[in-house]
Amino acid sequence: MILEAETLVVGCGNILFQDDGFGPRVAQELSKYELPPDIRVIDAGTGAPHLIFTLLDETCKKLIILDCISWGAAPGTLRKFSVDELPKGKFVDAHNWTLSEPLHGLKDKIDIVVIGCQPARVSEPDIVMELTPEVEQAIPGAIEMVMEELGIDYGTVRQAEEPIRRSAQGGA
Amino acid sequence: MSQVVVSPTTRHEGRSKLVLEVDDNGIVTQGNYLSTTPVRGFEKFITGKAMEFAPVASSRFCGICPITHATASSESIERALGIMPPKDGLVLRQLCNLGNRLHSHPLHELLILPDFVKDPNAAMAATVRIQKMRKIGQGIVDITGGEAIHAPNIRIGGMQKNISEAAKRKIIQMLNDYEPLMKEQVDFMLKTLKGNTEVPKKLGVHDRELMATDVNYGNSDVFETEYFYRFSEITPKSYYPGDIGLEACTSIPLIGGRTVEGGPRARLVKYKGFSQKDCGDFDVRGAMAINIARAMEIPLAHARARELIQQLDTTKPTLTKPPESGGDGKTLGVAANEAPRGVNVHTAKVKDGKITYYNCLVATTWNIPTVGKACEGQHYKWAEYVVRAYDPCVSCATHMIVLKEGKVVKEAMI
Repeated sequence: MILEAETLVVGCGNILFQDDGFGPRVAQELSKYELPPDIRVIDAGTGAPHLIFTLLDETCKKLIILDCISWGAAPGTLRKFSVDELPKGKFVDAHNWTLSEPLHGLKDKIDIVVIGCQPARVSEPDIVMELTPEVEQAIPGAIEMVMEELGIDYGTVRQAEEPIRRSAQGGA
Repeated sequence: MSQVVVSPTTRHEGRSKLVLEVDDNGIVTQGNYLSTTPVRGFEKFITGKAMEFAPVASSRFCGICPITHATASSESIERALGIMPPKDGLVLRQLCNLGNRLHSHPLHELLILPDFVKDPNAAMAATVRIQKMRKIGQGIVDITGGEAIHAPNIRIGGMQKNISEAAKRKIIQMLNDYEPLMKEQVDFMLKTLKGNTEVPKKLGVHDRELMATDVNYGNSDVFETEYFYRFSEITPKSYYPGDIGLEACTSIPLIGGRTVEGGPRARLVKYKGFSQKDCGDFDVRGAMAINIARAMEIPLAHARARELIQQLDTTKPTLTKPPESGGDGKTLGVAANEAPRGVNVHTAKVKDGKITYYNCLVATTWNIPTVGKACEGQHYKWAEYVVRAYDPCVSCATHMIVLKEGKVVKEAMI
């Protein structure tokens, strides 16, 4: 994993399980913007705990995590969480590792912001590709919150002509 | 005689359970290993969708080895359409797949460390090496696949785009960086595994056929000619004794009417002459031999990745664009790719660009019933060691069929 950017914006969740796809969906939308080169946006799917949060480069200073989190609010509500607000979780197996446990291990080394969206429905184990309307409508607000965290004026950021992926491909 | 249930089994991927019949001395007389991860119906969901959706969806079975699902899925559709990716597309795709193995095998070693390494300093040093190795493996997937987790560059017809010369040089450097870590880690693991004096020498011995199609990437022609004609599939209810099968969430695939083992040992026995001499005091037919073979596979994958990156011509095309409305709805595309833990088989039919049939028999599905058999003959306290030797990825394996009078009548969630 090439994670040498100073700031990583990480969309977590599975696009196949309705509102669980919130994080990847926002990451997808963010890839349409021309962001500074030290920022990398990643659709981490369900692999975040073991594929990203255990493999960060030392250059990484800030993590912005997008995920659906249920805290009893109205569906589609957005809220910033600190890592301390998240339950610690416990490693049982590599597949079912919770998002929050490795974040608790990282929180004193890296600035971590979690942007949560209250889901209306997570369809797992049934597959539903579309977000519910409430969560769909929350996406622009989530992007605005990410831009604010990045210190970018949402009104001035340019949209790219095609999705941008800041990769390690050396200009491929 | 009594029953021991281990649920859930841990330090692998997904949810599973061991139901063991044991005698008065605690020796397992009948071993049953079953998946308890719910069936998610991916195959049904993919059917009827545009063919391009199949690798996207199937690579989301699980976040551990999504690459081999994407490559097997793409290849099954290519074979159904009768198209072939360009040479450099195949080189890049295989390299992407190997990147996944260069990460996944060390990850498995991390999961079994507590079983075999009691010295905390040695365990910490191994953990640091493993994390560095995983990172390089994922980095190779990231560069070749376009993203390390759900690689969007893997497409029907090859790879969406080639990489740059700079990226090629970067991969060569990454493989150079991997080498000393790998040498130290493989030496450490082999010494640790072979030097273990507590584990029974015949742990996990079974008499089932070993199934493999290639050392590294996989060979679908080999699967079709050597295995597919002998393949059958039964429900767990008809395989497991009593009511145990009612909880199981995987079908039971058979070759020649018996369960099989895929994975590192199968590959090395078939293609690299892996034998008793490689296993120290442990039986070459047992679980420790699988752990040993897995460690020995890492340098093979690394050497193959080096060959492939040198072969890659970054100026050549990597994609044969598939016909938008291709497929006759009759030709069954069968693709077998070697996932880190065994043979991953995707089969597909396509008509007018839409999936009309889709079936996945993933590595762990093949291994699950054999894992149960391999637990027999030793004390039940060792059963989880047997499970972990197979590096099961149970979440991927939750596939189900319904049979009536020996024929598949429908696929469904039960």
